[in-house]
Amino acid sequence: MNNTVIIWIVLPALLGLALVLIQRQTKLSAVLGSLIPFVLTVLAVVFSKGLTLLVLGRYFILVDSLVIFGRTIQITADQLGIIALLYFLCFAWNLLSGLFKVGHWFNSLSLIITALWVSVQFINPFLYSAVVIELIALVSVPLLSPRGTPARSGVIRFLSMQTLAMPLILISGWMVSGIETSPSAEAIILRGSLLVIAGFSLWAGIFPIHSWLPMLTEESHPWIISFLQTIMQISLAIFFLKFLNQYAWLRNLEEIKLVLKWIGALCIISAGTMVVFQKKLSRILGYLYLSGTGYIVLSMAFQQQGWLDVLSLYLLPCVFAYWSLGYALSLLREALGSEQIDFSELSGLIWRYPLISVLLLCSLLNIIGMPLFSLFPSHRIIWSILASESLTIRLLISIGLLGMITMVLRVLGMMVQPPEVTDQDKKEKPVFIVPVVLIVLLMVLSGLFPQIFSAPIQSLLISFQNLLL
Amino acid sequence: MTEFLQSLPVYIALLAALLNLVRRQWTLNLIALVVQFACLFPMLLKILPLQLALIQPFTGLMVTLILYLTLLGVGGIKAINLLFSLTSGEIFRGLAGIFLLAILGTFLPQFQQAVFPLVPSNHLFLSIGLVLIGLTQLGTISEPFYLAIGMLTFLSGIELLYSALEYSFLLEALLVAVNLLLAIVGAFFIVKNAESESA
Amino acid sequence: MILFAILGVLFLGSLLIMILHSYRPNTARSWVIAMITALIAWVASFVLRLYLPTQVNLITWFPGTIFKESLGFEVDYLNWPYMVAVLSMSVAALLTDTTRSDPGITPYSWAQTISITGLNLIAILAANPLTMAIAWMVTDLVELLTLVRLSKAAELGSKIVSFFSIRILSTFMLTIAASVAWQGQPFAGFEVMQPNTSLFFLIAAGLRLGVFPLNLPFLDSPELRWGAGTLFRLTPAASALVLIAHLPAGLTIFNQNLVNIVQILTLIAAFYSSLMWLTRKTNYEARLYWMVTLSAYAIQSALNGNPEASRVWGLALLLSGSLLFLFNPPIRRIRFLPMLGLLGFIGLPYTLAASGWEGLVQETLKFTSVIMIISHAFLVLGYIRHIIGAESTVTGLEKYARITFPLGLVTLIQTILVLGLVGWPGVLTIGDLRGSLGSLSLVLIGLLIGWQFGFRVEMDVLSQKIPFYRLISVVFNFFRKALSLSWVPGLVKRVYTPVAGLAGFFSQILEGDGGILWSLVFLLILSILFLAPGLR
Repeated sequence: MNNTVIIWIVLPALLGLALVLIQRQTKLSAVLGSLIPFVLTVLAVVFSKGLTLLVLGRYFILVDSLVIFGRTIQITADQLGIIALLYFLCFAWNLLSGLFKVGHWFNSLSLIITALWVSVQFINPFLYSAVVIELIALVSVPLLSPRGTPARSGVIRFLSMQTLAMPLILISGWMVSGIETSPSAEAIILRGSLLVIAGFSLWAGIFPIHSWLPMLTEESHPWIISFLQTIMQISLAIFFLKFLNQYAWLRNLEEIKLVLKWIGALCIISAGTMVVFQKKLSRILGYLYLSGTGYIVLSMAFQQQGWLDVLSLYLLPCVFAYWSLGYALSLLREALGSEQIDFSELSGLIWRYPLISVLLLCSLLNIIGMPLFSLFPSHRIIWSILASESLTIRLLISIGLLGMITMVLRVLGMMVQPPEVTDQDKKEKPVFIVPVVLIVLLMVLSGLFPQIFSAPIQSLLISFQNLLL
Repeated sequence: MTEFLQSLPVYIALLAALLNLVRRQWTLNLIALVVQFACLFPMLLKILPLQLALIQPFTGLMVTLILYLTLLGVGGIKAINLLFSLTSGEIFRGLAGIFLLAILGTFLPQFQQAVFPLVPSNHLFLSIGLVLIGLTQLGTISEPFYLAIGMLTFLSGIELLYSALEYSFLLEALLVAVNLLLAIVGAFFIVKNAESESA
Repeated sequence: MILFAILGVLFLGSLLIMILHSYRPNTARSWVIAMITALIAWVASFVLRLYLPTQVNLITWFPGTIFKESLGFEVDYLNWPYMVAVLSMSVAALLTDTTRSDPGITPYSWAQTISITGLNLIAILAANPLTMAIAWMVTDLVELLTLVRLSKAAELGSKIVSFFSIRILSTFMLTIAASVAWQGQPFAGFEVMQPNTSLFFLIAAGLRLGVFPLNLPFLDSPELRWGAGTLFRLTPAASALVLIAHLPAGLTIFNQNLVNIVQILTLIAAFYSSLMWLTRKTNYEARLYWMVTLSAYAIQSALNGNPEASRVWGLALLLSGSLLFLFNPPIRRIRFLPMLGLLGFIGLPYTLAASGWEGLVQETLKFTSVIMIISHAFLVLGYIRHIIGAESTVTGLEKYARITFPLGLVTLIQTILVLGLVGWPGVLTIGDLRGSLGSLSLVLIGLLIGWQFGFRVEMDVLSQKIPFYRLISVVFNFFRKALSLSWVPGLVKRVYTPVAGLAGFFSQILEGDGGILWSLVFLLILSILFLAPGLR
């Protein structure tokens, strides 16, 4: 029990399995589902300074590695920041899961999925993590496709894409294993990089292989899909950093920066363009994830002084932005009794559900990076760095951003339309005012004082020594 | 003759995969899947010790068993109808599969030399062939059972290829877990569809 | 300290009114609180004049990195006059509200008046574009919520969206401009605005000035026509004008052709709007053209390399404009009070706007300068016409209203005079006599002609007297339609439908049964692009 791998991977996975047994007791399951990741987060923060802790005169010393099937899995104190972030994410989503109809599996599977994502970051050799990612996709199925509904195409497409990605990463590892001694290193490097990029593209769903993203968000409960997608996006970003950190040939490849820039720009413009024509809020969520991926990729493309800081500053506000949007959409889904939240159902929303409307509007403005809100400071840095880029990339990103603004205006337009339904009275519970005000306040405060989010995660990516330029 | 006998499992496995691609008849498809997994064994035996060579075919058989039991539960197992005429869709899929295999066969030597020089050509042909047929299966249908077969075919090709490249117990364990989970997910989808159809 | 006191007083006052009124409604008490709050802030703003320039750093983002940025306030000679102007407008609006009986005038509207003044002050006093963008966003959101609350009865849904669209676009443009202007080094103030990015900043300011669309919607609402409506319309323009005043003098260095195009467009806008201002029937109808004309002057000053000269035109827009628009009900016997508003923009030597001619009239008198002088004359004539044309006799006014209403107008006049004397070093100047005297002569001629017509513009008389009247009216109608942007929704719809169809088709292909194969094809194409040596 005094092993970091057991505490943050094995134990949570086992506890997640145990939660399956009590999943019918929804309240207990929700409480434990929130408590366990919270405790793990706190422990990760406490031990991130060092694996020795003195409590009441007694020393707690953690061992940092475990051997499984002849392979060593190691989690050092430096890396506990990443673990804290992932478990905090799990805690944040589990905390409010009791408010929505997310099914009995959510608390247990979210814990197992988080444990698996943590293991992805630390399995050695790290290329084998590709298989764990496939396992995560498979474990997510009961959440994405609950019983009582037919198997829909989005979840199947998602599974297919994740399955296709896995071998690309596995083979890339084998291909570049003898790169130092190979006479034709350049060709192998290119092939290896191509496989890595293609694998990550399939995993993250970048343009034009993003089709599963809007399909999946359309079919799933916003609270579930926002959890799965957020943890996936953040974990994949960190996992890609691991590739860059580990492989000097990938990091130093000139083309990689250009390719990342183009991938980022294409994700942002495609999301911005497609989002303008959507008629369902649920699908818009998918495109917002596509755009988010674009920003993360872009921030990785500019490997200059302090870029890793920028990325780590981006992650927590990003999590918060998805969390608040997921919360707003879930509230809306339950309030309207609509699965996909069609635009036509939004007419007069601002008078029927003023608090949810305000929350939705602020969350959308936040996620597209408008001033005043929490994502603005880091988005602004990315835009500023782009200023020195080619006009085409700048133009693509500006158009993407304009598309996102248009989407927000369309949503607002629908909200302030005279309601079609005859009953125009306010239907909202007054109690909503507390969480809505708190969330909007936090959004604004962290937009004005980015330190609120940046201070706790300042040393998040410190373990990537090779990337700290 | 020896060469032909050595290549026989390759052709049988590919034929079984092609049959799964072309014909949509659950019982027939399950049998083809078993044949496909069984044919992996002689190929694996050439490069791995017996105990290790058994893992993948055995997992395949377990996977097929899970699917079989599920289909049995939803009343999907029926007698095989051998007297059938091919539909245009089946002809198209069959031709597409053969075309892909033909192209693969044509460019295999160059591909082998450039990318996988250490993998025997038969081994490479079967693994890439399975990958291609699996991908075609994934791209041409949205029915959960066939998608599960497509993914399993694709994965078996990849596993076969990877076993010739390097071997790891950890990876093998993870891949077995993936295969079994995939079968469970496939079964889950089959049951869900059956439930919603009956509702 | 004084700065924070001003902002604090405004927000606290607003909060106090809301809380007290929701528990124990008392209109008189609310008005007194609003009045005291606004007065304290107004007086304090004059005290601030003694400490110019002052800078307050609020927060530093990302210290120790190259991305270090600061949020803060700065009060200097460029924005202090705007600050005083906005606070004066707030005081005047509260004082003149006492004579109006619109249903929209409630303690909540007074709370809004002072809180929106406070929010706009944050934007006006912003030390850099970043702070300004944030302040703009806050102001827009507050105004949006206010409008939504008002619009239920009026059903202004789509109009609110067009209002918010323009505002959010201006914020977007400002953010992009500030990002493009970033030179890879930390910055603290408006010095980040280099000539090569000035045009972006100018567009951001232009959008916020309320120039587009011309028929800005929410003023149609009876609740917002006067008082708070005047503030809603005019005060957001103040921060945009501050932005223009901060533009670098070397704007013309950047792409002269593009600058020329903007200059010609501004010239047309100024001329057209001043003529419309002169000829509209009521000042409510003409209000928009007042804004457009003076905004065009401000922009023209910046384009001519004299951004500081834009300050006087901006102040005229706010002070003389609100003096006229708050003169409602237009009581005949005190018509001389708004007439004094002429001092704010007539541009005669030693008046407030004397220094503004430098921005409009170039050293060598060019065609553009002549157009500007004519346009200015139209503006003055229109102002006089709207005052003379406004006549009503109000009976049954409360005793206090007989004092507060003129007092509100006097507040604005007094501000014009004070700013004309001590607004900034060098404010007392002769100015360009070619401009001021030229405009004055034209005004006198116009007044003579007006005398002939009895200061009434009858359309049928005009059509008979003016040569090529039909052609001119066609041209004017074209301009009116083009600038109102009423054609935009139709055009957007036309473009949107086929493009949406195309996007839907694309989605259908990617999400259909063959989607996986399509994805693989795309992946293959991208891989080839990556590997092909010629394309790398």
